[in-house]
Amino acid sequence: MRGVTLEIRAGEFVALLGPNGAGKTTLLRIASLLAAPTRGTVQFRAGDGSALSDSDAAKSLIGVVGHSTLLYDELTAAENLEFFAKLYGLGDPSSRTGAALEDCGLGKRTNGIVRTFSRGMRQRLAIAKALLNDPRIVLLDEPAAGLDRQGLEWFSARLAQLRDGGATVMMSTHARNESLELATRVVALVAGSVAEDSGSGGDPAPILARLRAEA
Amino acid sequence: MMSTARATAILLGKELRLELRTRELLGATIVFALIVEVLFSFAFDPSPADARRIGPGLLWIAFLFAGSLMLNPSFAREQPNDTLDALRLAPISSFAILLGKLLANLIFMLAVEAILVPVFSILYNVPIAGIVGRLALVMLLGTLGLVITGTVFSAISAQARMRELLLPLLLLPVLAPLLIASVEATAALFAEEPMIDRTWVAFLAGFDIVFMTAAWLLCDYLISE
Repeated sequence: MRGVTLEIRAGEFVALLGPNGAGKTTLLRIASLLAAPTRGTVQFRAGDGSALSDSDAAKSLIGVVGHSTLLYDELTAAENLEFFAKLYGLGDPSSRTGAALEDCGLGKRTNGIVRTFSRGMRQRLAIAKALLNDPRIVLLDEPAAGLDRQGLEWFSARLAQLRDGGATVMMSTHARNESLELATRVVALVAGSVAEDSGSGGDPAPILARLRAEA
Repeated sequence: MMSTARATAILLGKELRLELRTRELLGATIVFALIVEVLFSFAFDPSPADARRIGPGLLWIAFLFAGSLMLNPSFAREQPNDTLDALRLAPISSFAILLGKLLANLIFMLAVEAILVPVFSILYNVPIAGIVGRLALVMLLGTLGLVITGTVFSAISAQARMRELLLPLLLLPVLAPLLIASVEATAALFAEEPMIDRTWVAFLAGFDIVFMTAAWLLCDYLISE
């Protein structure tokens, strides 16, 4: 990344666009505190504007869907979600897990070993895991990869729920993704720098239309 | 933030569940260590006096080989789906992640040793019935040192391409003092008149404390990207 400065307000739905190698994944890894920037900082602010100094407090607010599923292949779907529910200190992990599996359409595969799942099922489970802690900040790196038509519809509905619920969403994707209709802001990255930014409260449609035409 | 003890218990539960399901580590390590023990027995064909003299060394070298085999995948098995990232995303301390792995490795190593020691006793004709408690203490202290250093180096080498080679190269020289202390403490127990060698046992305890403190101090760097 080179000289990237972004202030994202609570409730914004930011679409990160750009060619391969533009730095979308790196930016999301830095924002999720998985990678430390060589220079600069990442700050999370509470509702009153005060900075959250404790990274663990910030982590409990974040949900991440990465390039990998972040799931244990040898555990069942339920065991995976219950493990992470416990790790996040969530109340009643068992019923929360059951509800999440029903929601993502894997209610009948609760005890299925993840290794035996199709790519799309794993991706649904990865998304369900990321949303298990009702995150206020959702960071999504190409989240629709592998999802079939049904999965895409479920995912779009969940994204709309998140946006309507006031969650802040940052999603890297390609310009033709249908979920981009939900975006309130578009940030285009090129070679590690911000090439275009519709800004907070700005209209993302013109940038989006042009990027789609170019894609 | 969740307490380190609670997070460690949850992570330990996951490690045990994964191993019970796959039996990848225990199965291979037990078979490998038994083969080493049997081969040593064939190679040296020791008399009872020889067994008391060289037996502790052979036993601990078998433990060391077993450890370097078993500890290698400890962090490497988190790589296929970047599950270490998933752990790092959770609001838990880095030390809990390291401690969960470490305790699981300790349980696995002690399980392997619980099989190896009786086999050793039979193969080398070294009676252990009268020294079980004291031998367990020496094995616990020695194995804890092996597992602490091995888990730390497993975290360091997990990202490396040649990690299978790198871990023993890093681990074995550092474990030389631990090996000497464990062998000496075990030799004192295998003697005609078994006794606890307090000097070497204290050395083992000191080694464990020093390396556990170092692991605690360095855990953020070890677990970070």
